Amino acid sequence: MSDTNDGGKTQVDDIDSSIYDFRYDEKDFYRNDPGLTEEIVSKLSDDKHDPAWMKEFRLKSLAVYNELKVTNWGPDISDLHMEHIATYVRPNTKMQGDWKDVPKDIKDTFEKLGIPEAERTSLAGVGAQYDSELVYHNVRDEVAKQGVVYTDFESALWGPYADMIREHFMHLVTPRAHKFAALHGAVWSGGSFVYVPKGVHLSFPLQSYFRLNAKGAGQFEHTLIILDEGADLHFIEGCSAPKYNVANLHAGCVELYVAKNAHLRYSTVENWSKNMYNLNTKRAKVEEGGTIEWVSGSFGSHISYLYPESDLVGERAHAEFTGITFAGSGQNLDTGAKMMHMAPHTSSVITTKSISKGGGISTYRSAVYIAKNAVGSKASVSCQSLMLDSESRSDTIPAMEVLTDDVDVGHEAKIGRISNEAVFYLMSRGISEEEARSMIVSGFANPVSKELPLEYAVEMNNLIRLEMKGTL
Amino acid sequence: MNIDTTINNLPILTWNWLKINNVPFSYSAAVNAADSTVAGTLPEGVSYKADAGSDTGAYAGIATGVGKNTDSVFTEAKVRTALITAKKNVHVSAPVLISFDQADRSSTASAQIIRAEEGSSVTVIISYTSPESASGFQAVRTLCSAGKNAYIHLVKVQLLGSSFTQIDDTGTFCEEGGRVEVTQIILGGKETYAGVAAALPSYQSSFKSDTAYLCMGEQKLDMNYIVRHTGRKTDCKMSVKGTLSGNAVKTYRGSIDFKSGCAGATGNEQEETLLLSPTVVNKSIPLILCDEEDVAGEHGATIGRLGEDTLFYMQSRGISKQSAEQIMARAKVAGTAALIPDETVVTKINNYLDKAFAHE
Amino acid sequence: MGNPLLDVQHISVSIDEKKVLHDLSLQIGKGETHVLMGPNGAGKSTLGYTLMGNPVYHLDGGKILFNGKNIDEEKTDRRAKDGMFLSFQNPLEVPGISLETFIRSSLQQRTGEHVKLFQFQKDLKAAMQLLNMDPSYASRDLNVGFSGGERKKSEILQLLMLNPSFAILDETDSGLDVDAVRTVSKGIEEYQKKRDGALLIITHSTKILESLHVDFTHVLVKGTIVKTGGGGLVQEINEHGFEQFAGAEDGEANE
Repeated sequence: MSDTNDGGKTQVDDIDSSIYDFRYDEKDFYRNDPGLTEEIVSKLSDDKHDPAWMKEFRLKSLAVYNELKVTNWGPDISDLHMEHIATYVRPNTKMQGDWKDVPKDIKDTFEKLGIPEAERTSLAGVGAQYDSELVYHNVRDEVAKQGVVYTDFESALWGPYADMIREHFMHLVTPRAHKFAALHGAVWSGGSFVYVPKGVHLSFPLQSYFRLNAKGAGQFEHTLIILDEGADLHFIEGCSAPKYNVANLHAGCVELYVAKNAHLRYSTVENWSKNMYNLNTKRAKVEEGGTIEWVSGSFGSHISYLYPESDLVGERAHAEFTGITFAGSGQNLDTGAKMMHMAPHTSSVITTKSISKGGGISTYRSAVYIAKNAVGSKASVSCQSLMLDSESRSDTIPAMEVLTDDVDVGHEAKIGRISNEAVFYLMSRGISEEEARSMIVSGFANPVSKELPLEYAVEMNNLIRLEMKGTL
Repeated sequence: MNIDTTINNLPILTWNWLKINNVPFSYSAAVNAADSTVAGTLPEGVSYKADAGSDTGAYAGIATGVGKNTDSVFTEAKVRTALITAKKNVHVSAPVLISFDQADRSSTASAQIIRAEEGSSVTVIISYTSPESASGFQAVRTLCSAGKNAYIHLVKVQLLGSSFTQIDDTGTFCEEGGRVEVTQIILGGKETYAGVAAALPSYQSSFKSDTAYLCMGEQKLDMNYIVRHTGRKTDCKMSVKGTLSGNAVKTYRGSIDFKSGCAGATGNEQEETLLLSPTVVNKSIPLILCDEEDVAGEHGATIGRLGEDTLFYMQSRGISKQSAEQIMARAKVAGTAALIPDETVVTKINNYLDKAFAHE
Repeated sequence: MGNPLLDVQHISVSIDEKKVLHDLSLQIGKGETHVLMGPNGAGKSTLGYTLMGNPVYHLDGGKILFNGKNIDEEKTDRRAKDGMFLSFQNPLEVPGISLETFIRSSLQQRTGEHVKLFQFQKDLKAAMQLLNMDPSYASRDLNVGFSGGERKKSEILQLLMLNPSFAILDETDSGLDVDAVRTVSKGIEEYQKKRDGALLIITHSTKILESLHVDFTHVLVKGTIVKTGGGGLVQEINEHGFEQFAGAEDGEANE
């Protein structure tokens, strides 16, 4: 029996992900001039009927964008030509309250991605983004009755929560964070605003969905979630996009405010198509006794920079990050997490798994920072990497900075390959080699998939199965 | 001489705000060459050359941990590189001792090449001492080249005065079946920059590194360890243990780089840091880079205070908290010092520790 | 022997270029129970792995026929589908897959058909009860954190659920306490009764055989079979050990 772990000879077929790669011809879509100038940003702001402060904010962000340089670390993004990417595409339809009023082809797109089914189950509401504008939005009665606000971002800027938004918008992730945060500040469009009042526990998850369809379009949605004291919410973000020849950019931003004793779980299964540049910024600020749980599955994109950051600013704040990254052929996924302990008795746990296959590059990058006043804090990091062949790369770059002695910081990392003994064991039970390797990889990903709601766990296992086909 | 650069560079960059990608280093004063003379008699089977001269060429390709940016310190000082060679198939039983006893306000640079010919084994112990509160500068660069199935044990013990700045740069290279082991004890100095780079390009070569340190008061320690696996079935084990107290600042970079082709390689890196004061600064970045499927790598780090259980146990035996902390700090050093095959050197280490804790 | 289920003909096996088995021949008929004994290091486990097709072991010479078919080139999973089973001496932990899911997947592979959940769970429950296994183990990750005894039981559980025509049990009783040995023995008996399956029990102690019917006993010393006898040979070895066979490895195997 030949040894199939023979690095140089592993045949890797192009992954058959065609069930995710479908699109519709663009209709009479309105489109920005490519490239980024003050005129374009102003026009964008006017078209969106921004309040004056937002227009000013956009222009200031543009100035910062032009000032900042791209990072000197991480995957090379020099092939991303900003001047060619249109930043705004609006489909020819207005905001919809009811599913049956949404245009057919847009509906079909979401239907294929399973949203109506999801709607029929216990989900509270769905905000679905299609090319920079929310086209469908429905907040369930129960949710609305409890005072939970879940709306698209644009209308929220003029609604009763306008002041709250102004106070929080890009205060956690400021345009100065990095160049693509500044870009976001200038051209953001679409996204969700969620506010959960004091003590309200939503018993089912809120879900949002993104889509990117137009050639060369960028995606800059903004998610702002504010949980008041003692609130509890699970928010699911899942996305997909079809394949194009022109580079696509996703520079979204997620800001999460978790107040005293509140609890937020933020789950994402990201499956952007394989030509996408995913330069996303996610940050949570956690107050006293609050908890943020990130669950993240990264499968798509050509290049990804993704490090959800948790700022633990209140005593006994807690953060958990559970993530899996699967980098296949042509992908360079640089992901991880940042835990900033800035108050006493805070705690964080990072558990990540990464898989590299077919020439994919997977980098785990993290930072655990414990400030001088964060006495009594605990941090633990556990990262495991699986290499499926020798064309691929897997790098682990964890950093820890500790500025006080009353801490407990533990870190462990492992890298290796699929155990031949484990493959033999499974095969001795009649399971084929391909299936055995797929099962082992799914088993490897299990700690993450079991944190996701069922349909996402299923999607994740399907994604793994698709990725694993063609390994032999 | 004038130098203003960055040293102890990470093989791959990360967030700049962490200020861990490298460390800035500048120095502008005269640096004198200091020879690396062997103390006592040269053991049998070892040959010694005070100035390797053109022989250094054969070893020029060996990368070091602190890095090329400090080359100018050695060239401008016109350092004479000593060459210590263990002859083929000779197992040198007695260690080769090189002692640098630095005078107050001295500013020197020294270099050595240790070559173990095929089948030989040799231990070289280099120690650095000076008067207790001496100030000064010292740069040392040591290259180790282990021939086929040869073994080199390099020991470096730093007991410099409390105002000294030191750059201790090491680079190793192994031929097939060759092994290099580096044992380091770093207790003194005000600012120490220690770097070790190990190249494992040959089949079944291996590298082991054990470092123990104690940083107290205003001491700063900046370390950079990197092992590059390119040969098949190569192995490395790195261990760094130490204690920080007072306002000490310590940075540890440990990288295991599995390059394409190193099938069957294994690497293990462990770090243990005991923190004894609320004003210390500890930065750690244990890296694993991997370009080869058939490897197994792991690293672990534990950073924190004296465990409450351990403390309680000791207190129940009448040991005060402060004593307990000292006992643990000494234990970390003792574990590594146990690897040093020379009683005199170990005694010096213990004496130094006695004095250091007496001041606390 | 007519058409044996398993026909091993003069095989030589090596691992990492080290020769472990040489000129080993063995025939096992349908429904027969064979015992393979021998001192440590004789190569007993190697035989089990070789029959199951572990790629780490190389067949340097000879051939293996299963059901009249030469299986030398067949991959492990093919052999399993053909009806072979190996109970491992050191069953591996496989995190992320539950015991129940694992067995169900294996069954599905073997039969090629979709497994009916209700019946499956009933059968699983009954088998676990027979083996004194706490039902909670079904949903636990395969062998993860299982004690030595529980791992062995997990193997026998798989034996009962997968119902092979030929099972190789590699040191199934090693590391088990008296009760566990009895339970595992019970499981093996159940397999013998239910399936009329052929068994190759590899062991170097005989506790597990006490309540089993044994047809043939083989002694393996230094990589080859030095003696074959009936069930009574087990008793003999119990009383006199392997020493009597130590020098016999160059001699003929006695029928």
